[in-house]
Amino acid sequence: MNHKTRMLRIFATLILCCMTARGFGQGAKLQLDNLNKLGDKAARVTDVTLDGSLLSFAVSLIEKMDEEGDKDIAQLKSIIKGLQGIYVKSFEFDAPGQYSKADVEAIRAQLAAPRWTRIVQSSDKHTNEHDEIYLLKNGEHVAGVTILVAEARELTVVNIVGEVPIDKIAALERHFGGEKNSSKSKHKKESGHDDE
Amino acid sequence: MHFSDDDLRAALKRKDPGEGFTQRVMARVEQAKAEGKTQPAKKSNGSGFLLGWWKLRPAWALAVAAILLLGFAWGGYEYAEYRHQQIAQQERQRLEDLKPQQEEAEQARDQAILALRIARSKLNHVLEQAQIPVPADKIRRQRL
Amino acid sequence: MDQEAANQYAGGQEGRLELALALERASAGDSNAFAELVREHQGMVFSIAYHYLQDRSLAEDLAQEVFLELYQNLGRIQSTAHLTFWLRRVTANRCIDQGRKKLRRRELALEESPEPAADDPPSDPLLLQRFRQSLAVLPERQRMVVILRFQEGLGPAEIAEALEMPVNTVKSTLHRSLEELRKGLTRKLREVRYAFF
Repeated sequence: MNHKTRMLRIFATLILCCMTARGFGQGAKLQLDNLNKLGDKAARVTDVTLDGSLLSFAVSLIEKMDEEGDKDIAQLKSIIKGLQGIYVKSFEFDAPGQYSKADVEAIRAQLAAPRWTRIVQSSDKHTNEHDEIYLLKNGEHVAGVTILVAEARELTVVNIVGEVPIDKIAALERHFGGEKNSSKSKHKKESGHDDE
Repeated sequence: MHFSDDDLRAALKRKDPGEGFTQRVMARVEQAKAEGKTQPAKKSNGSGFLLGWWKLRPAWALAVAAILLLGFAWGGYEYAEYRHQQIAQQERQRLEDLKPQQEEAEQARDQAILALRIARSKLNHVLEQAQIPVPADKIRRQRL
Repeated sequence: MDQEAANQYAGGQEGRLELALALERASAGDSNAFAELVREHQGMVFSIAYHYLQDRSLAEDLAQEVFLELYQNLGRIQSTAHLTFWLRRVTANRCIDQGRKKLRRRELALEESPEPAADDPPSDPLLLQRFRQSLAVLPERQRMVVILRFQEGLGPAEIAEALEMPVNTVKSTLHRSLEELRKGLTRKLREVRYAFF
């Protein structure tokens, strides 16, 4: 092997290492921008990106919320204080087939093992529904959660970064947060929350 | 032995000094005047203004002191009011400046709550689809 | 208000006005006006002194001195109410000073000089005499508090002002004084009983 080849290999290894390190650090947060193009076709869009100072604002205001008479406010406070980022992309379509498998695969590719673990998977061929829950573990702790709901007329990705108490999130009542928490999501044709 | 307040009042009823008391007093007054031991302390009728003023020095000093004190107190009050208004104005300005930030924070809060509601909803949906007991049901059952 | 009360009220008002005018004139040097003031207040001044000192001649001397002092201080008297207050205070203070000088805390014998004339004769002269004797042995301030209270009908606040004492002290002094008077009277009556039986 000549000198030039050796230098190229070392250089490539270094770049790879840097990329891997970067990838490792950013592993919990998914890249969801590729889904933005679906907004043009969707009847209803919910897009939430909360991290950094914005999330800090949210946490500080939630901390000040009055707990009296609402146990879920206390739960909400305990959930949010450990989070570093909340990212939601949700698209509801009038007709099936408005998004492609490639759109979903681009998300799944970021949820590969060994870092991410799929803990729940549910498929229904009849309704063309594929739902998955992934966990990112950092030792014993949960460092991230991703919920992927791919249905005929809906594609939703929820990516939460940080110490995520899944059981607490699941245990929240439907009505938690009260009337004042009306949706501020971007929507195309109608207002309202993305809720069942 | 018991006696009432009326008994006491009766026992201590006013007595008259007797005939001629007033004359005796006036006689003593005249005697004292004659001996130069006493002069009636007459009220000023306006003459001797300067002397009168001089004698009233303590009163004047008190009056001046009172006026000064009132002046200081009033000045202090006015200044305190001015400062209070200034501080209130500054506070209003600060809140005004913070308003966009406050609105942003409120939006962020609402977004966070919305996101968590969606997370809850989808999480439970997936768990139900996978026929895994939903944590909320488990907790409800435990409570029961 | 019925006619009699109205007349009394009107008379009272008129009297006060006359007194105020007399004070004004006396302050300007009018002897007759001053004599009028003396006549108006001699009963009060003399009685305080007499009940305190329990000696007629001493009481009259003291009263005369009080009015002499008033003559010298007329310019300072601001109103008829102030005049009354001033006379009471000066009389009380002179009585207390006099009492201290003479150290008169002795019990008076039954053969003391008879009472000065009063409008109503006492219903129980013996009780009255016992009372006077018990009063005479009270300490100076206690004695004066009782006199101002029951002769002049002053309240604790007024007595406090006249004697320059705290109001609460006046109240406790009065209470104590009445206790001692009762004890003194009981003791006296027992002595009389024993004398007879």
